[in-house]
Amino acid sequence: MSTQGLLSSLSRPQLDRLLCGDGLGIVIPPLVVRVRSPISVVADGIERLYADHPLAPQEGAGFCDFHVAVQARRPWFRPLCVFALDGRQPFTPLAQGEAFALFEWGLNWCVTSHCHQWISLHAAVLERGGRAVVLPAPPGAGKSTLCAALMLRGWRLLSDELTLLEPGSGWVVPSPRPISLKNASIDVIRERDPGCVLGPVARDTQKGTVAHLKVRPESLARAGERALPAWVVFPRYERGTALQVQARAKATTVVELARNSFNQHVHGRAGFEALVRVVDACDSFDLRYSQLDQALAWFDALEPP
Amino acid sequence: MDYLLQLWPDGAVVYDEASGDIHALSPIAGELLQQVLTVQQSCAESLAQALLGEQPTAQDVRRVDKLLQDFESLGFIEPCGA
Repeated sequence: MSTQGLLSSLSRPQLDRLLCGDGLGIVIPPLVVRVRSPISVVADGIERLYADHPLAPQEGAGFCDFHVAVQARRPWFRPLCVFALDGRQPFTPLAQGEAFALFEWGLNWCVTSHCHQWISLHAAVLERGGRAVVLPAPPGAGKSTLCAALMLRGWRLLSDELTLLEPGSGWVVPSPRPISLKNASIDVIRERDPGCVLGPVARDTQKGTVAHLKVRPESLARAGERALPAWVVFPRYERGTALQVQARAKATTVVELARNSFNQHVHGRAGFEALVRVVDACDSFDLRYSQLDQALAWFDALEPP
Repeated sequence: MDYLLQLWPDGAVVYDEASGDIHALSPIAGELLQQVLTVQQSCAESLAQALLGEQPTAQDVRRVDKLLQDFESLGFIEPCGA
């Protein structure tokens, strides 16, 4: 894949010109995405959070997996934005202040709806010492907060939102993109790392206040390195609770992974066998926490099975 | 019927290829389903004996019979003559 340096090499006027013109090609491993948008919030977010991502060939050259746009609607009164993939608009419009978040959510949808070469799980995944921990969780469970804190502690981020599992091999393919933080977790992470880079803050979204955290350069630099899972941990934040860890039965772990999968059913028998193989090779736990430092210390002490 | 069954000491998981459903089973239910899937026809008593390796008690047979009813409700098996 021929690239043309990092996105940070573009001046803001160059970035705006591409976004408002033929589109900005960005290598967002393992994909190449071309994005167009006249909305300044989108440009702000991309400039801040994708600065270390490689540029794809511009001016319409080279192959792109997805051609997306975040378009402005109704500019004269309570401005809105819509996400488009190849001209199709799969979502209802949102307030324009949510435009960058919509870009991120739209990219997630592109992957889960179209990239069936992988089994995609709604789970964060990070790596340390060559082994990966998979963190499946429903919204509000504290997954992204934990994921961000682990990344800031030195774990390599493979993904905050989508674990991409190769069905044949069981390896996880990295897809390091900004981490979606919500509500109180935005300040929690900012206090832990005052130097961290956050994107535009979207208020009053369906998920509350949302801001994205930039991926550490170390994680991005190793985006070509897959990892084998060693642990599956189902986290749940519960205010005031002491750290509780319980080993999970492998059978119920398979069922929960399938429930958190977007497309395991597409793979049929091979999808089931892939989940079984992952769980068979992993230790599985339920983790309840309220103190982030206690949870991080527990992760630091994990030993591969 | 095509089912994939994976047994572990702490439980089992079965994949129903026709529906795509995945079910978690207790260890004993997993062992029993494996028996059912490998034997053409059988009754609760003979299955209980095969599982235990000895003559089952009436309570053992009732337990196996209850599991067979669960399997029937999940569509894994059909009663003889159905």
